[in-house]
This record gives sequence, C-alpha cells and structure tokens, in this order.
Amino acid sequence: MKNRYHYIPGCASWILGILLLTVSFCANSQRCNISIRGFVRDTSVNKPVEKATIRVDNMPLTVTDSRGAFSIGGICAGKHIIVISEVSHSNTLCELYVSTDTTIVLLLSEKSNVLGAVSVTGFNTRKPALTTLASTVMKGQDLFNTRGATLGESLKGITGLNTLQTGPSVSKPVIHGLHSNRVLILNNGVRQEGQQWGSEHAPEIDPFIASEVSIVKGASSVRYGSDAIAGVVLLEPEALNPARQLQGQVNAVAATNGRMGVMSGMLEGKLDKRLDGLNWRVQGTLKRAGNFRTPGYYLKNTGISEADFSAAVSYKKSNYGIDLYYSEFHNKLGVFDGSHVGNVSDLYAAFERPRPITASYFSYKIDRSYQDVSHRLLKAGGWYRFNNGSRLEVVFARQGNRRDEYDIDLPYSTDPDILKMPQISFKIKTHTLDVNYDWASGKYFSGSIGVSGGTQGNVFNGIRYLVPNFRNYSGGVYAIEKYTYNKLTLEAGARYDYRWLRVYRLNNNTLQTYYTTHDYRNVTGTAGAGYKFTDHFSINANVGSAWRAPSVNELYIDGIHLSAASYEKGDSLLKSERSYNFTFGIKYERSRFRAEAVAYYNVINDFIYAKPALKPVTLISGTYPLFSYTQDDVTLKGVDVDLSYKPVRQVELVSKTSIVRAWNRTIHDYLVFMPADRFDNKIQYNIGSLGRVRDCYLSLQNISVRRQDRVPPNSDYVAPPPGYSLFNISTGFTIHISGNSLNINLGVDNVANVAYRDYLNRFRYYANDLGMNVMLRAKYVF
Amino acid sequence: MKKLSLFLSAFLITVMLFNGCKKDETAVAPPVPGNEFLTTVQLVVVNAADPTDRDTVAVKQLPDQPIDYTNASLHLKANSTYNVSVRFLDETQTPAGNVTDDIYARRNYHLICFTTDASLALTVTRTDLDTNTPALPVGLQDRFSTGSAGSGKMNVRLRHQPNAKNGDCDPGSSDADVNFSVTIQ
Repeated sequence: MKNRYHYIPGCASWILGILLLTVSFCANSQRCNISIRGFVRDTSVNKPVEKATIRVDNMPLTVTDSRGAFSIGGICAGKHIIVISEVSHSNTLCELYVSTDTTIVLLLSEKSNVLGAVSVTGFNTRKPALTTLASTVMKGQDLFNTRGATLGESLKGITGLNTLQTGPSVSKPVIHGLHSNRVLILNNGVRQEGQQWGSEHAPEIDPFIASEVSIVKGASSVRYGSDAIAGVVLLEPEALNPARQLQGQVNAVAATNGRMGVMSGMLEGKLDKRLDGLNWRVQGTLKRAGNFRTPGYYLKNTGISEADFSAAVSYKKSNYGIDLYYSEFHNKLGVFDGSHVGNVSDLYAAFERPRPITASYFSYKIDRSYQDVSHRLLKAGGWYRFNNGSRLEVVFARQGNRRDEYDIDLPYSTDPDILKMPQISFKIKTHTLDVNYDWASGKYFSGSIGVSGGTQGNVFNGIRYLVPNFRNYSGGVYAIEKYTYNKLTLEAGARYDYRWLRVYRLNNNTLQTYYTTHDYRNVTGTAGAGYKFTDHFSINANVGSAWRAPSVNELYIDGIHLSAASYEKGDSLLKSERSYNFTFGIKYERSRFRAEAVAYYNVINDFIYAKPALKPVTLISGTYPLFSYTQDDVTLKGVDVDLSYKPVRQVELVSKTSIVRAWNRTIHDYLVFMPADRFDNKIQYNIGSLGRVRDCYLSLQNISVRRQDRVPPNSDYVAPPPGYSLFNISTGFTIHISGNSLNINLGVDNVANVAYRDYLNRFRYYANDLGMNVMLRAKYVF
Repeated sequence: MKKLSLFLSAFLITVMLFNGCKKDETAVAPPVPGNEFLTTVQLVVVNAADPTDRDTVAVKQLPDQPIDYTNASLHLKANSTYNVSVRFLDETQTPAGNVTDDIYARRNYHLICFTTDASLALTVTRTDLDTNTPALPVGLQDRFSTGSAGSGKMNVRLRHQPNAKNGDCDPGSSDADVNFSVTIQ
C-alpha cells in the first residue's frame, strides 16, 4: 500500500487526510449495497433477450428471465465493466458508472459484427431527437467538477461553447457564436421562458437540478420549436425511480474567490406496497458569494445570494406514468459598481482608468444596483406506452418570471413607496402544452410526431420606458422520421410554426393604450445521415433550416442600457430571420485514442443584431452612441475538435479546440461579438484506487484564448483585449463509506493569478476578469 | 385504453386547474408620478451688486422630444460677480416637479461640475457644502466671476457619485450633461 503513494505525493497526502477523518466510519467493513436492475432487448427485432448472461466486474453471472429482466445486488458505487453474452448475440461490454440504484436498458444487436453496438440507456432519459446532429453530454465527474458555477459558466468546458458574461455572476451559454434567443434551454423538458433577450439576463435555473446536461449543436427547431437556431441545452434530472425508501445526496462547494459557499441537498424516496410506483423528490440549493476579486482588486458589489428549491412526484406503472414538478428559483445579483456609467464620456473615462475608481474591499453586502429575479415553474406531464411499443407524452407547463432591476440611484422622489420600487420591472407568464408521440414500425423505421402550443404575457413596469407589454400565442406541428439499416441512419423532419404577437403601448400625450399586431408563419426542415464504417469510425451529416421571429426588444426597445452606455432602438418592421445550417461530424474511437471533429457552416439571412448607427443621441443626461436593430445576411462557420489519448493506462491527454469565423455578407466585413479561438488542453494522471479511495486523479489544464482580431472598424468602444492563457489544476477522488460514497474535488482556477479580460465579457471595459480561485467540492451520496 | 382515457382526463383536469391566465398586459401602466424624469437644467443668475439684474436660462428636454436650447443663452456683464442657483426640474408634470430638493437631500452623493471654454473669462466657485467629513462642495449654489468680454460654451454636469464623492468630477456617472452658451459683454 505504502509504496503506491510515491507516484503522486500531493494526492497521497490528501488521501491520508481524508482517511484519518473518516476512520470512524470505516471501522466496520465496507458495505456495497447498490443494485442494478435492467432489461436486455434486441434492437433489430425490438424483443426482450432471454437467457442472456450479465457479469459485472468479476462477480457471479446473472441470467435474464423471459422478460429480459435481471437484477444484481451488492454493487459498490463507482465505475464497473458489464459484460453481456448471449448465444445469438455477440459478447458486448460497456462501462457503467453507478452512484445509486440504477435501472438500465441494454440494447443488443444480432450477431454479425459489433462491439460498440450496445448502448446503455437509463429509463426516461430523453435522447436527442435528431441523432445526426452533433451533441455532447456532460454528467458524472465532469458535471461534478463544475458545481458552484453558474449554468452558463459550467458549460464552458464543452467544445464549441462559450459564455457571454456580464461580470462574474451573470453568464449565458453561447453555441457556435450565437446566444440569447437563439439558444433554447430545456429545463426538465420545459422550454425556459424568461427575459432572456438581454445579455445581462442569465438563465434562471439552478444547475444542481440536473444530473445530466446535453448540448445539441446545430439548428434543432424541428423538434424543439423555433428559436433553436444555434442549438439546445437540455438539463435533465435523474429519472425519478429510487431503489430505496429514502435516499439522497448532499453537495457542498466552497470557493475562495468571492468567499462563496453553496449547499445543495436532495432527498428522494418511494412509497412501498400499496402505492408501489409512487416516487417523490425534494431538492434545494442555497448559494452566497460576496465581492469577487481580480488579480489586483475586488470588484465592488458583485455578490450573489440565491435560494432555489424543487419538488417532484411521479406515479409510474409499466405502461403509463404521470408526474408533477414544481421549482422555484430566486436570486439577487449585485451589478458591479464600476460598470455604472451614465453616458459615453463616462464610459471613455472608465476604461482609461487602469482599475475601477471606487474603493474595493470584500463584503457580502449587495448594494444598488442589483437585479432581483425569481422564476417559478410548474410542470404536469404524463406518458402512456402502447402495446406496440409506441409512446405518447403530454406536458403542460406554467412559468412565471419576474425581474426587478434597481439602479444605483434612488428615484428622484421623497415618497418612501416610490423609493422602494425598482426602476425597471418585468413580469412574464408562459403557458405551454406539448404533445409528442414516438413510434417504431417494422424493423427499420421509427419517428415522432407532435404538436405544441403556448401563450405568453409580459408586463413591463418602470420609470423609464424600455420594452412594451405584449401577448404572444404560438403553435407548431412537426414530424420526424428515422430509418436505420445496418450501418446507415437516415432521418428527416419538418415543422410548421405560427406565432401571433400583439404589443400594447401607451400614447404619452393622450394616455390611451393602443396596440400593434404581428404574425409570423414559417416552415422548418431538417435532413441528416449517419454512417458507421466500422465500430471505431463513423460520420454524420445534417442539413437544417430554422427560423426565429424577431423578439419584442428587437422590434420595440427604445432606451438606455446603462451599463453599456448605449441607446438601443428597435425596428418594428423586422422580418423573421432564417438560417441554413450544415454540419458534418466525424468520429474515430479506440480504447486509447478518441477523435471527434464537427464542422459547421451556418448561413443566416436577415440576421437581427444591434448595429452601431454612427450617430449619437443627445439627451439631457449626455450623449449616447445609438445602436439600432437591423438585419444583415451573415455566415458563421467553424470547427470543434475533441481529441483524447492515453499513452499509458494512467495518463490521459485531452485537447479541445473551438474556432468560429463569422462574416457579415451585407457590409462585407466581420460580425461583431463573436468568440475568439479557444484551446483547452488537459493532462490527467489517474492514480486509480488506493484501498477504499477510488478514482483518484490529478490534472493540469491550460486554457488559451487568442485575441479576437476579426472585428469591423468602429464597431466597439475599445479594441478587443489581448489573448490570454490560464492554468487550472484539479485533484479528486471517491471514498466509499458503508455503502455510501463521498466525492471530493479540489481545484484551483487561474493558478498564476493572471490578469486578463475576455472579449465576450461585457465588463471588460471596466475591470479585469477573475483572479485565482481555490474551490473545494464535496458530494455525499447516501 | 381505459387506462389511457383515465390518464388523459386526469391530465386535462390538471391543465384546467392551472389555466387561470389573466391578461394583465393589456393594462399599460402610465408613468409613475413623481419619478425620476429630469427634464430641465435651469440656472438662476443674480448680479451680486444689483439684485434686479437677474436672468434665468434653461436647457430642457421632454420625453420623445429633441433637446430644447431656445432659452439656453446666458448674458453676463464683464468684471462682475453673480450668485447662481442651479435647479433641476421635472416639467412632465404641472406644476413642474422640483428635482433640486431631492438632489439637495442626497447632496453627499452629488456634485455639479462646470467646464467653460478657454475663450470665456469666467471663474465658477461652488459656495455650498455637503455633510461629508471633510465637507465637500455641491454646486447647487455658486459664484460666477467674469473677466473681460468674450463668448463661449459652458458645460454643466450633474455627477452622481454614491459612496465615491471626493470633490473631483471623475467618479460616478452623469445624470445631466448640458451646454449653455455664454456671452460676456
């Protein structure tokens, strides 16, 4: 035992520390009482496979019954190798990570070829509807290592994804250069509807809800509705199917930067005997952070205080199920003090300064200006499985989103009620209904059809005018058909959407309400093909067309964006934008080497963006540069490359590259605010298991971002910041205590405390990005 | 099939229960009265030697209107001293709302800055103080001392400097930033 420690002394001392702490728990022998239940099915004939043998690691064999079902108990949490053998099927093996009791479906194909043809699918996990689009899944250890970060920030590790930031506490995902209304976020199957148009409006979701985050890169409008021009982020909680009457997990994160603390707990269980099939779960998160720190100074008023909770109940039988889900998100975010500038001369003065002028120190206090946001989601859904294997699912959701923004200054008033009011307040209510029917016919065909509809009302209140009230109705129908024959997959889909929008405004002179109505109708289509040359090598290609109706702010915004010192003006005559997206993916996978590349070419006609009008607006409060919403034809192309290589068993090299090139064809110049080239390289040393301590690893990561040179002249107040290179280190392991597991991760971001600014951070005008941050994460599963 | 219909009807009931959607958005709220419309920056200029020699000039902008400079020309006598009050008004209401009092109430956060063209022989001294320690000027009350004849532009800015006021114009942001034309005869 002792002689194994000398590999990595740093990690060893860690392990010793934890072992000493936990020695009292470990006095009795370790209990491993997780069970894996599952079914083995034949994909080609869609029937259960009887008498297949299942072997987990080196444990005794288990044989499936006539329903193809099996159950294995006494398994420890962690990674396991499962080998499935059956006479008419080839032996297949797969890797499975279990932390709680798990139900799996193992899909075998008939003997002929295949090693990689087995896929493990948990019950109820939504597979991407279109398999020929590039998609990435983040779960398990990778997801754990992002705990504590905002949703946008946690996705940054995925190739092709960036974040659009407004200081340290607000970030939203950018897929292939596109964001906000062009990225759909599906939270537990429901389309997130908030005030997502503003770049400082982060998605109102607690990332701890999800046990799995999938990203579909490329136009996915056919399945998920218009707006999904760039892609979709799907957040999925663990399927509600606990094995024990009571189980759960506790997550805790502590970080030095911002002196952040996060606690998140989850409890789930089931009712036995009489109400077998009734499962429940409650979950809650508390987060608190104070002023974040750059390498030289604190960022005043950047604290976060967040409290979220969710509850779910489901009743599940073999062929039908209903579920109810409710979640509440509430946070209060300080807006960095130094970003508050009135007009353009203030802005120039602000970025001439080497550091913000206001005193910087640490505090948890959140002063004006701040955002106070809450989001409530109620989801009621049900599914029914027909005897022929097809499945009908209905989901109704109601969302309420409220966003209050308090300016740095109190309103000019002596009335105490008015002094308490936010300067700007938005309330948006959304009701949606989605019906989806998945079917499979014969050996080769499968598909889904569906309808969806929704209505949305937005009420704007505020001292300044910014965007009008509106009511929106939308409806869509779609069909997707898939054909699988041996190594070939073909799929195609089409969708028709209708959107009706009525905008209510007030005539300032007569104080009479008037309205304008818009309607949009569009057809969307997609076609794709995948071909698996060998078990190791496959390609896929997809062509899709998607559309997006202009949003209310693009049509009607008329006012000042204080933190950017700009005056934005909408254009009510904007048309829908339409994209034609081509993606091509190639994947090569061996046990020690893996390579995946995705290239895309996205032509967007009538792309809507805020263009500098090159003439200022003069108000009593000063001069503001004017940005007017306009439409141009643009082209975005790029590649995402993922490589991983294990030269020896313990060492893993991972390299991720994301490159985007965006061109505005109308003005024959580059498109503004596109992510710069990003390279993420990591070397990980997997020490493996040391007694009870398992999966111990140590990694060193370098993230290099080049300077964004591709910007048109006079498109920004300051030139893009120089490129930067950051080093992060991380170490972690898992300990099993009496059948429960404790996961620990210790990470240091920006080890060298490098001062840098990122082009996609709106606060780069005023301050540096974050300095060194040491984070300790723990997850205890019981 | 029975199960399916049971399931569907249970589902429909749930939908109905939550379908009490009111259409609040049709009632568009009028602007909250007494709010932060700062429409007018006014200078009341009184000759220290002759209280009858008095002038009021203003730069005004009503919502959705271009900025109004028609009454923004100030005429001063050479080699004289003037007592000046700066006033901020909300002229969306009648009678006009007085924003000056609110600024005075929060004078520890505010500073009025004057910048004159080099061609103007005009010295501006702030004569009022806030309650910071040490006390800092505010600028709602000022003294203008003129020299020889000339003309030029005078910029008046209301700087908003919460927790950052240090006597300099630099910190904070501008709540008002307007230009008057000044002639010294």
